[in-house]
Parts: sequence; C-alpha cells; structure tokens
Amino acid sequence: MRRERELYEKHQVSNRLHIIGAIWLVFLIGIPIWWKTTEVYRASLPYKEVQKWQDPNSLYINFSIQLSYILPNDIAKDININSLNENIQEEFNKKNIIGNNNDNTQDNTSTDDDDFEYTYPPKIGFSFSVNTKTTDKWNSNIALTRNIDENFDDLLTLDTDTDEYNVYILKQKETSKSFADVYIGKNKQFMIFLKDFSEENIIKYTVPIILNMFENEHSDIISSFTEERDENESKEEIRKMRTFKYASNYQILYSLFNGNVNDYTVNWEIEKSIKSYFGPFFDTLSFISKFDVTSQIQNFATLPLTAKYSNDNDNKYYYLEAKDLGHFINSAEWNLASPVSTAPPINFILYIPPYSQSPLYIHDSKGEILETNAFLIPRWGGIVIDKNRNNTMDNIGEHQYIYSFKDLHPIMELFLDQLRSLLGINEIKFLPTDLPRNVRVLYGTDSKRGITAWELDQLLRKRTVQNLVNASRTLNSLAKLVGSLRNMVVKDKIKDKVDFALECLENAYKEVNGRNYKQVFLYSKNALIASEEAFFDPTMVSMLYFPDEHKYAVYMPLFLPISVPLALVLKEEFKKRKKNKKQSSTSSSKSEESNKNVNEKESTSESQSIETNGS
Amino acid sequence: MKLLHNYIYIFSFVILFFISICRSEYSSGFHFPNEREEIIDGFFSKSRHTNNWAVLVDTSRYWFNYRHIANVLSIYRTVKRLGIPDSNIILMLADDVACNPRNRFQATVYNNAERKLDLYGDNIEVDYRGYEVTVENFIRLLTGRHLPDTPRSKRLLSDDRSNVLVYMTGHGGEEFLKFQDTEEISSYDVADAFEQMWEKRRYNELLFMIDTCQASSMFSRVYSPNILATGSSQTGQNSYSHHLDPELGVAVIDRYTYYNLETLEYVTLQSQKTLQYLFNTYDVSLIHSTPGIRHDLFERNLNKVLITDFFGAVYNIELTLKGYKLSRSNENDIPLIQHNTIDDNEETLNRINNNDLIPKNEYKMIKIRSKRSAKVSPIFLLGFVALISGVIFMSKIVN
Repeated sequence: MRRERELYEKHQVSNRLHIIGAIWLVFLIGIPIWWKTTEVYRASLPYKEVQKWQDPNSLYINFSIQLSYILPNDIAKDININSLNENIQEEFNKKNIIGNNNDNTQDNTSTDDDDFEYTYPPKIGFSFSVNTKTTDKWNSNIALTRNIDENFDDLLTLDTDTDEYNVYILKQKETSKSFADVYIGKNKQFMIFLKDFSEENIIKYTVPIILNMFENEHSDIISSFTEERDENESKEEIRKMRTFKYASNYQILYSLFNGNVNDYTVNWEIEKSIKSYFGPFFDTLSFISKFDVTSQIQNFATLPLTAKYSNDNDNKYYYLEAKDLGHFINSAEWNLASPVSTAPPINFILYIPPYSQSPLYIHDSKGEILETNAFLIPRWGGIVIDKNRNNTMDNIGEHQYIYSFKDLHPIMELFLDQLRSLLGINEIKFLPTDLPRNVRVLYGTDSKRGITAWELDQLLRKRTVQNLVNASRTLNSLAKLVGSLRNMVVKDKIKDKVDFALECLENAYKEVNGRNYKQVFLYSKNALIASEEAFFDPTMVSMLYFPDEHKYAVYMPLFLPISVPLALVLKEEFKKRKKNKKQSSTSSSKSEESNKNVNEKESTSESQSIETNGS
Repeated sequence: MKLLHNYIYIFSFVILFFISICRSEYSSGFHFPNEREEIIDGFFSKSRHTNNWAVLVDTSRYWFNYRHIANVLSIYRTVKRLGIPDSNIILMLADDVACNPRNRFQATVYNNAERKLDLYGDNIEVDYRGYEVTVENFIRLLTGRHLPDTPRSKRLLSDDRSNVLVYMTGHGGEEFLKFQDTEEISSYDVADAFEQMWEKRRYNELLFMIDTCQASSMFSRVYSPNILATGSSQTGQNSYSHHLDPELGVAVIDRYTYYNLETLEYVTLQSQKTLQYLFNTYDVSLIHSTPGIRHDLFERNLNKVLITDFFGAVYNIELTLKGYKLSRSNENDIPLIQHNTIDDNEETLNRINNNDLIPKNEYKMIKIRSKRSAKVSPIFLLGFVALISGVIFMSKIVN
C-alpha cells in the first residue's frame, strides 16, 4: 500500500511537470503566432527610389529643341551655309543655360525652407540644336504678293508631322518701314522677313526672338510652382488662379439660360455647333485630356443681381458693373452640378436676359460697354450675355427663338477663348522691350483647330513638367504617410502602383532629352495618375489614433492573470528540482525521502490550486 | 500695315474688386451690427481662393439632441444663402429629427422657439445621413480616400484654391468628439486628416469651427498651415444650449451657434464684414463659456479676412475681351485632325486597377480560396499542430 502510494506520488510529480510544460509550450508557441497573425500587412515600398526624386537636383528637365533654318536657294547661293549654321549654333549655345542661370539664385533662397520640396521649382532648361537647309520649293520673294495668313502658312509647310521647328528666311516688302517682320505661324513655323540677308542680320533678328520665346515659356512653367501668398496681382498669379489643375478628364457643360420663358421660348443648335466649332479642338487635345460634353437649357433663370439702367444719348440699355459680376451666378437655383463623374467641371453659360432688362450690357472698370459682353470665372467657366435680344423689337408675337449654327458662331468663339485660358494655353506674346529695335511681330492663329502647334507644344511641355513634379511629390507624401502611420495596412496593389509610377518617372526622364514630347507627356501623365491612385486608395485610411497606453489597458487584464501563476509554478518547480537533486545526491535515508515526498505533495496541491484560480 | 492692324491684340486685364473694410472699434457687448459703423481702412485685400467648400457635421443622434441638428442646418442655411452651391456643401446629419414621431411639427426643424424659420424647408440635400455619419466616413471625406463607387455629392473635391469651412457639433470631451454614441474622433485624428489635406493641397485656407463641450481641445493638436480654428468653449468648460421650445420639449439651439448666427444673419454677399468682427461679437456673458480662437497657423490678418471668404462664395471675374477666330463655312464643315497615335502605357495601370474598380469583399470580409486556405502559412500550421498535440498530451495525462 505504502509502496503503491509512493509510486502514485512519483507519477503525479511527473504528471505535474508535464502539465506545466504543456501550458508553457502552448503559451510560448502561441505568442509568436498571435503576434504574427494580428500584425497588419505592409508591403515594403521602395523608399529609397522615392527619396531619390525628392532631391531637387533629380528634377532637372532639359528639353532639346531642334531648329531648322530653311533658306530659299536664291538667298542661299550668296551665303556660306555651313558657317551660318555654326554661327547660329554658337549664338544659341552662349545663352543656352536658361535653367541653370535662374536656379543658382533660387537654390539659395529655398535651402533653409523646411516645408520640404514644395518651394523648389524644378530646374528646366532648353538646349537648341540647329541645322540649316536650303529649299527650291519657293523663292525668297514668295511673300511679296500674298497675304501673310493661315493659308500662306499652309503653303509653306513642308511636313506637318515633324518635331522640328522651322525658321524660314524670306524677303520683306520694300515699302515696309520696320527692319524686320516676324510671323509666328501655326505649324511650328517662325518666319522672318528681311531686306538684307547677311549672316549677321539673320542671326540678329532670329536668335534673340526665339530665345525670348523660350525664356517666357520657362518663366511661365517656373511660376506655376511658386507659392507666394503675398497680395500682389501679378500676371502670373492671375494666370495660376485661372488655370485648371491638370486632369485626364474634364466635363464641359454648355448651358442656355433663359431669363424669363414668358418672353421667349428658346432653343439652340448646340450639338452641331459643338461638333464643328469645338470638335477639332477637343480632338487635338485628346491625348492630353479627354472632354465629356453635355448641354442643357434652363428656363426661369433669375439673376441674383439687379441690372442698372442707363439712358444717355437715346441709347437706352441696362448694364451690370464689372465689380458686381462676382455675384452673377445664382448657385442656389441654377442647376450646374453634375452628379455623374468626379472629373472637374467646366461651365459655359449663354444667358438671355428677360425682356424687361434687355439689352443687357457689361460695363468695364472705366464704365464703358464691353464689346464682347462676356466674362470668365477662374477655374469655373465662362459666361456670355446675349446682347442681341433687345426690347425695341416689336415682335412680341414671335415668342420662339432658335439660335442657329451661324448665330452661335461669335458665341462659340468667345467660349473657345475662355476655354483656352482655363486650360492654360498661353498665347505667344512678346513685350515690346523683349524685341530688337523696330521689329514687328505677327501672331498666327489656327482657325480650324483653335490651337497652334507652338501653343500645343508649350502646353505639353508645361503639363509634362507639372505632372512629373506632382507625381514625385505625391510619392513623397505617400512615403511620409506610410512611414508615420505604423498601423496602416499597405497592400501589394499600392506597391504595384508606386513601382509603376516610379518606372514612368524613370522613363520620362530618359525620354525627356529626346524630342518626342508626346511620349514623355504620356509617361508623366501615367506617373501622376498611378501615384495619385496610390495616395487616394480607399485602403490607405489608417486605424484611428490609438496610443500605446490604450493597448496596455486592453491586454493587461488578459495576460497578467495568466502569466503570474505560470511564472510562480515554474519558479517553484525549479526550486523543487534543485532540492530533489541535492537530496538524492546527499541523503541515502529512504524514510527521509518519503517524508519529503509527502511535503512535496502538499506543496503541489497548493500550486495546482493557484493555477486553477489563475485560469 | 493693314495686316498688322488686324492682328494687333489688346492685352487682357483682370478686375479684382475686393475692398477690405475693417472694424477698428471693439464691441464689448453684443449688439446688432450696423453697416455704417464700419470704416474703410484703405487696404486692398485680395483672396487667393476661387471656390468655397463647406463640410457641416452633426455627430449626435436621438430626439433630445434636436439642437445639434438645428445648429448644423442653421449654418447650412447661411452658407447656402451666401452662395455656396449644394454641390460644394457636404452635410452630415446623424439623425432625422424632422421625421421623428416625437416631433409635434412634422417635417420641420426650427432653431427658435418662435418657429418663424423652417430650416428643413423644401430644398436641403443631406449627403451623409443616419448611420453613415461615422468617424471613418468623415476621415475618408477629408482625406479624399473613397471607395470607387462613392457619388460625387459625397466627395470633397476641393483643390489648392479652395477655402473650406469645417463645422462640427455634437457631444465631446477633452480631445474627443463623440460620433453616434458608438465611437469617437480624437483631436489627433482631426489634425492628421488636415495635414493629409495640406499634403495634397486640398485646401487654400481652412476654417474649423466646432460647437461642443471643451471645444478648444479639439483643435489644439492641429499643426498644418493656413488653418483658422474657433470653438465654443475652452478646455475644461462646458458649452450650453440656448433656449427651450416648450412645445417640442427640447432645446432648439446651442448658445455659441446662436450668437454666431446673430451676426451671420446680417451678412450679405456684398458685405465687407471680417472674421475679426465676428470674433469680436463673442460675449462670454451670453455664451456662458469662453470661445476659443486659434490663429497662429493662419497667415492673413483677421481684419482682412471677410466672413464671405468662408461662409459664402464670391467669384473673382475676368472680362473677356475677344473671341478666338474660327472659320467654319457651314455646320458640316468639321476640319479633320490627324491623330498621331502614340502607344499609351495605360494597360499596366488598368491591369493594376482591374482588381479594384468594383469594391470587392476585401473591404468587408475575408475571401477564402479553398485551394490555398489549407496551407495559408506554415506558421499557422505549426501552431495548430502544437496546439492539438498539447491538447492530446493533456487529455492523456488527465485520464
């Protein structure tokens, strides 16, 4: 019996050990599993590469411009073509460093700024390479008998699908009083009309003007990045305020607002008109942005303003002052919002004033009638007030009025001009001070497309730079965000998008020195889209603010009661083992040992009871 | 000569008429504002913004919180009256008291016991309602991270030229505001959301206005530039309701909002009143708490910030001086444009996107793929084996 009991006790001791061991085993394996499985998934973003684009030096964009001087044979025979080419190239090289010059000063001012790279404008440069050709397709006096206009432009165009800029040297009319005339055509043509075709003369009247054109473009791009908040009304500031941010899609809404439907019922041939007047323009820009066009007619469009009445010189009319036009939009009642897409909306409104307020004119700041009767709201759209409906007409009986294709022509011209400035298309303009003395410049327009090739290239280059800079900034913001919020899940999809954006950035910089602006633009556009999609991804909303103390508060009640008895038992067990070992080695008496065992049993039951309490 | 004449263009010019008028005298007690008291200070101030947005949030439910909904609807009415279109107002109402069975005046919400002005009216557009008003949706709204099927009216599509008004009301405590009795937003969350808006330039200037207990603590953590914040009470103070409508049996408006409205009601679109003027009208003896104003992050002088810069929409305008010459002989004359097609690399982007155009289960539940689920992770398997063996081991011992 005693023997049995001893055996049983011995068995119990080893049992106890196993129980403790098993619990500890589960505990030790469980903690890493719990740790691993409750972890949020964070794809590792390529921080280093993102960091690289933060460096302002990495944003050095150098556009290479290919210029072809084209001389008719009758001039070319008196000139050494090769030396002319060299001299022109040399002249361009002297002033080639548009980007670098400006950057030296800007770097100094922005180094101490902490608001990271937003204050840095990117470095942009243009490098010119010149070649000179002769042609026998026309003589130098071709311009003498023709009007210099679009048709002339088309006549001289050699290849419309070229990425070169052509400089034509032509003969000037003898009667002309200026030293040189310049015509900037619509197809990347720069024509210079001279009387004297010496080498020196050609250089003198072409190089500074062309350089100036690109300098203007350069400062335009740079100014779109500076963020001054001073209260000056500079031209750049106004331009920046007016121009929409780049988007790959815009929705355009043409609205016909009728002041009072009791006076007229109106309709317009808007579909035909948009197709014809705007179609080519949209097509030309389609690879920069796409346009979704809708139109609507609204009756009973009441103005929140009351027009003033003027009746001097028998010329009776109503007018609105320019300073009041900010309140022209009746946003509470005019339904202009589109619920369809999230693309930026551009609104164009043709407003027909009610009969009782016709004709309605706009007064400019000097109090004179504005010829166009139209105005533009920055980043919103354009408005044209119809001035042809006037109250002197006796056709009260004739209630219906339909705006025909022809009627809409001047209105569409105004809308197009407004749209051009809203999209950031700048007309090429020289200040008189920028030009050599006594030179006159004619600016060509493209009455078919609505945008000249020069303007299109400038827009492309501007949008390319903006997109590249915005993309790298967005990636930086994303890296900052992911770095600062440790609890946020970062999915593989985000990483894919970041990788793709980086790849596009890389490609764009590789290509940017070539002349394939469209390809570079597409890279920059994709980089921007991918980086913004990554940044605005719905999964990128992190867990809310959850301080560490809260975590302790949550886990303490669970782990503390478990861990205390576990630790105590383990400690006791070790103590006992140590004791046992000592005893077995030192004592030989069996009775003593059995006594010990009894004691041990008691302590075991104690520790077990603790364990059950704990769990 | 003739040609040159035809082509000479006139430079376009812009007219910006923003005359700032500032009030120099400080009004100690509340009194009705009078236009004639204002003094033109001679400075021309021009705002940089081109559009206005308003985010108006009521975070509390239930009938007894009638006043919070009235607060928000009063501000809604004001900004709408001052020209912010519904498309630019995001209205979050956690409850619909107008249709509550306890409401004696069905389908109306009044902010005054005299019941002269029905705020609910016939033209209000609630963008987030009921249980949609959550902390998550609010953060998503500010940061712009929406599920792809979110309609335009639920998005804050502001840009670097937008002035944004964020008005919140509800029950709160130190550094938190309660949403719907179930969750709360902390001041850190608000500050981080504003910072992320700034990172992507989603505002030009932001006015954060909050009517809750300990309101000032809610904007104490904000650190992004160009933010102006004001709240109904200091940290440690409660905010109080203004008065009770005996027929409804509940308070109809809070004091802070009520006294703001006293001023805002007299503001028109053409008004030149400034935010400093609004802040000067705050009277501790009437509001029963000390309103907090935080302008250290804001660059402009409050004397030059018009109330309509945030509560209204006044557009800058530019006169158009000419049209762009187009030549079309008739309606069928559509000039052809050569398309030089360049391979767009959009496929890669589409491929990445393909998986998330439609919000999948991944946002709500875990999708189990039967093939892979068994061997999801070796660690899981190992743990499972250890657990089973442990259990078997123990059961053996016990038996």
